[in-house]
Amino acid sequence: MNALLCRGLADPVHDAGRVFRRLLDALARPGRPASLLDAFAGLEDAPSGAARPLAAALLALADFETPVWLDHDAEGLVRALVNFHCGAPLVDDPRRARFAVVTEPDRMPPLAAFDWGSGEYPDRGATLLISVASLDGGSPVTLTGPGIATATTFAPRGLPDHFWSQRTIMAKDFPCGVDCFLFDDHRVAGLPRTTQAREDQ
Amino acid sequence: MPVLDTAKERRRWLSALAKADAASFDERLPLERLPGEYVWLRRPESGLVMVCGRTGGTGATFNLGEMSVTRCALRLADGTVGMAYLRGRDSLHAQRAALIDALMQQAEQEDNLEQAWTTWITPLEARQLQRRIALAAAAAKTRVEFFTVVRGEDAS
Repeated sequence: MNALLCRGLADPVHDAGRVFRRLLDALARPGRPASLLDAFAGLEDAPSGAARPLAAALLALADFETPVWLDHDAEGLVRALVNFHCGAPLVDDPRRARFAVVTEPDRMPPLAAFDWGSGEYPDRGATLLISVASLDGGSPVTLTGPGIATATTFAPRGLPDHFWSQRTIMAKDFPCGVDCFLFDDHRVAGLPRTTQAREDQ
Repeated sequence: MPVLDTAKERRRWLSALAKADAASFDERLPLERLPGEYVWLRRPESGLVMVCGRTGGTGATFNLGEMSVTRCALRLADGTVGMAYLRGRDSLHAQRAALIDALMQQAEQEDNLEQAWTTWITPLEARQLQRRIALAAAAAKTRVEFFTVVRGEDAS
């Protein structure tokens, strides 16, 4: 089988539209996992089910104008999708990427390695698509900020400990920074730069 | 260099398939022999591409204009991937071209390329050649011969 070419979304226009809507909703309600699997069909060539939500999000977001950075474990399917279906350029330097795919959070580069945008154009900051083991069952953090009425508890499993402390440092540079989407095998959760996280002791 | 040759031959059959007109597909090719079992990797989709040119073949490129292009990709049961890129918006044409491209690659794997070539490509190329000859003949009728006397400064 030709590993460079694979099936994308079954109905590229509408599936991508539905996935995009779910992603927007996820950013509007930070830290609240929302189902993504029922928003699309296709991606039958995915080597494992876990990669499908992230791959669908990438198909909905990336195009020829958005350089994409992949970590070493995101080879294979994701690389083929980016090349063949998104037509997005792949970059080696995380700083040049609009979208960054992290499938091995333990070994992810520091957040400072990505583009945070500039004071004039904070919107140019990168968006990280991070695959985690699960969106619950990990050590809990308390999230506050826009989209959260008072406070919410979020406990993704598989994120490195320094992720949250790095986000605290990043918050000092607001409005510059990166936005994150976290994926498990069927859901997505948004973590925009406006959300403040406090690690529960 | 067999790899190079393959690329060259494939380029030629892809070209013949892309330039075929709808009538060639309907009349001359055994379309019932196209495989029915395949999955779409990319359904036929039409878009615009900018055609660029260079004045006199050198110099900076300029945009000549946009043309519509249809492309698709599909995979047969054995994993062979057929692709088509062609001018216009005929998605059925793109589908057939991609299927035949996949068949040609299969034939090549099985050392059966000559027969496949005769079945699929020769009729298309013959028809395209006829069309070119007819076009050239029509153009030749309008040919104008210019006769000029030798100008003074050239005569030395």
